[in-house]
Amino acid sequence: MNRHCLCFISALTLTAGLFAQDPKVQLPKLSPTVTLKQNVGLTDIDLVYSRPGVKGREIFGKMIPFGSVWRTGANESTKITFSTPVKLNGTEIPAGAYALYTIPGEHEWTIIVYKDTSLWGAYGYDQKNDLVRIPATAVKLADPVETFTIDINDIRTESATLNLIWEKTRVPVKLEFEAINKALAQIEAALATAGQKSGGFYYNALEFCIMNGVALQKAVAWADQGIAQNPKSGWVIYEKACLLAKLGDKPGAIAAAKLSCAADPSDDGLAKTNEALIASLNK
Amino acid sequence: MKTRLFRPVLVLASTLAVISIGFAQAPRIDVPAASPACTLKQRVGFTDIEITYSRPGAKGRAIFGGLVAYDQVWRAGANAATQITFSTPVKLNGTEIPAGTYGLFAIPGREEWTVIINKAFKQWGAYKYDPKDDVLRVKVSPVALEHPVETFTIDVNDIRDDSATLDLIWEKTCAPVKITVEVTAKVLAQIDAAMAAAGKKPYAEAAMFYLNHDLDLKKAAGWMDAAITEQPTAFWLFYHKARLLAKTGDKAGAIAAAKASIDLVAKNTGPEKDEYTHLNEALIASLK
Repeated sequence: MNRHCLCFISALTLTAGLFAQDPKVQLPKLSPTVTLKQNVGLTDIDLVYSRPGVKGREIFGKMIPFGSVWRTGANESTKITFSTPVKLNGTEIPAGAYALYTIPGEHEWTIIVYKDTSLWGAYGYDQKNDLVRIPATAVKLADPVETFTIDINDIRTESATLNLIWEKTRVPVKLEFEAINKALAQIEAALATAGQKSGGFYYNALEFCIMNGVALQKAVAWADQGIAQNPKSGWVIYEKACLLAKLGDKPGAIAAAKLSCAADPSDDGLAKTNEALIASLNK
Repeated sequence: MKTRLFRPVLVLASTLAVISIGFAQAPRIDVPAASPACTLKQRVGFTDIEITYSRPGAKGRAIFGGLVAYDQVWRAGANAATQITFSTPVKLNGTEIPAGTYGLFAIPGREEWTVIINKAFKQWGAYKYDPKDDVLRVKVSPVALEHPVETFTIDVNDIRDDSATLDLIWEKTCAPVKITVEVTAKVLAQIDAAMAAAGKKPYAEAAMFYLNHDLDLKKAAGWMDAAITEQPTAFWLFYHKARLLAKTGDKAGAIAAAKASIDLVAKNTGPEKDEYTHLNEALIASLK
């Protein structure tokens, strides 16, 4: 039986052109395809999958039995691509494109990262092509979700949560990546090169340090260097004020914020931003 | 370069996945974006919906009525304005807009939100938002969520053949906008043309579409029988015939068709055997 016949088999996957030899009628797909591209830290995640709907049926434990491999979508197998190595619930896998399968359970699920991305659904699934199996725990939802959803949420610099959501079930999988050390190494390498760098370069490097609370002492020195090279860059001076505030040096931060305003009096946004910082420090 | 341009210009570069700072004076560096970029492409019916936006995190802050003020235009994301493209005309909460790419803005409110479709989709945030470029404003009733959502999310959910919901979700609020697309008229025109033409008729597709859209079920039953005449061992067609007869109130006929489907699929050995046996049994059980 070829794959076109197989898709009849699932009530979820009836699509146009599969009935007749000469399809004349194009029907909407019952489980339309979605592509999600999400950046997290220095990693890009791509997801491609087809989205079945509940449509009044009972899903987990009934239409999709507990304890069997599920295609985790509809139609072709669900694909997930990571541009860098990633940890899933603590287990590291290399960068690459994988198929995503699961074994649903009432409470405990198994997430399967699968090396063969060419299958139709889970037909032909063979455990020997598993890259890794990862346990995950299901969470009950108060309100049902109609359309099967794979969401990336709780996004931080070096982590996020991959959520498999359908009916009244959410299965979270923690994703972890390396980003801070990689970015710091790039900043330090750039600073080690000869020549003047722009205010924009310093602004972004400092903002990164502040946002992630890393290399704050070093960043003060980088800020001074950036200000010396770009004395009219009010935004670089503002970053220095933020750094000092973060390090607990309130008077230093307020003084820097005042210098920042003075560096470019024509910038209303800069003035407002500095005023807000000063107000928050005087609280 | 004027210093005041730092923020806008630099962060404009971050509409890509990672902020890339490519100044001539320094080697290129990538630093993580505070509000990472996301692109979602979702098909609904025959319409492709594409949303490109940056996703801020709550990060312990109070969002609506706090970081995002009530009753003011919000970029519905971070960094550059959120863009939404529809490949065909669509209706948002019942009002049609043409195919195209738009800026998506919102005015969050305690009791009511306004979602704005604006012509100026290439802009930074909502700083230069101008209501004269509005294409449509729709009123939305926000829904309170039980659990807070950390990262601002635009999702397309409740997907049906010809409708879906565009959900703007953050903190403990979801603002849903109903999207309706034209499907039935397009398919019916195709069915009519194919039935009138010489050659093989799309009986099964036509019957299934009429069945799933609660159209003329008598007509659908005739087509289903014609499809079964052409493919007398097609167990899946018998199952859908059973569904169709159940919808018309012919319980006995529905049960007979479901039993015929079970008998036919019993000859198979693949996963379809369990699947269709189960589907038919569930249908029979629901009729008793």
